[in-house]
Amino acid sequence: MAALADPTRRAVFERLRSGPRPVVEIARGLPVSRPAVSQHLRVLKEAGLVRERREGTRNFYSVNGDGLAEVREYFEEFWDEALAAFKLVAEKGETHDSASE
Amino acid sequence: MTQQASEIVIEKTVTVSVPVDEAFRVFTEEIETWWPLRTHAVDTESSDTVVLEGREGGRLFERAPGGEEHVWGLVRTWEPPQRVGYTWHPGRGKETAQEVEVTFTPDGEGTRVDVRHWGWEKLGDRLDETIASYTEGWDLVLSRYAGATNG
Repeated sequence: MAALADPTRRAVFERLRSGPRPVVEIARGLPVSRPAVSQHLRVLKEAGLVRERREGTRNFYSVNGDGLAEVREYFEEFWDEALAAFKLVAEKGETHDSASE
Repeated sequence: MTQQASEIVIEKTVTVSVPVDEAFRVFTEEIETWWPLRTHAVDTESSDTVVLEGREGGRLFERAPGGEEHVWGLVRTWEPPQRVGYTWHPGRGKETAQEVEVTFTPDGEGTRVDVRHWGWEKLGDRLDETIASYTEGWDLVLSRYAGATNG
C-alpha cells in the first residue's frame, strides 16, 4: 500500500487527475523512461488507485473512482476493530465496579 | 464514479453489558483505555494516549510522550450520556473533515452503541487527493495491522 510514497509514482498519479491518459503522455516531461512509468502504473493499479482501459492499440490510465469504496471498506474495518476493543474494556470495567452500586 | 460520496454512511453497532452512563463514560472520558492506538492513530509509533475533551468545541487528539499532538477532530455534539458527535480529519486538514456521531441507547440492562461516520461529500474535488492521503497516511496503520494479524 506504499503506492504513493515514491515521488515519481506520485507525479505519475497526479498526472491522471485531469483525466484518462495513455502512457506516452504520462511519461512526457518526466525524468524517467517509459518502461519505468509503466512499472509505476502497474504498482498504482495493484494498489487500486489507478484503472487501465484499452482503446485500440493504446492503454489509457485513469484515477480509480472505486478508491472511495476502498476508503469505505477501510473504515468499516477500522470501526469494527475500535468497537471490539471498546466492548472488551467497557465490560471488563463492569466486573471490577459491579460492587460499587 | 460508481458511488456518490454523499451516499456513503458507515454505520456500526455494538452492544455492551454495562449501563448507558458507564458506556458513555468509557467511550469518551476513558477513551485512552481502549482506543487501539497501535493501529488507529496518525503516529502509531509514538502516540501513547488519546484525549476526548468532553464539551462542545473540545478537541479529540492523540499525544506522544514528548507532547506532540495530532488533532483528529472537534466535538460538535456533547449530550452525555446519550450522544457525542465530532468532526473527523486525522492527519488531514479540517476542511476535509467528515462527521462521526455515536449514540448510546439502553438495551435491556446493557447499552447499544451506534456509530455513524459520514460527510464524505465535503471532500468534493479533493476526493482523489484525500483518498491518496488516506492511502499514504494510513500506510503504517495498515502495515502494522497486517503484521499483527499475521503474527
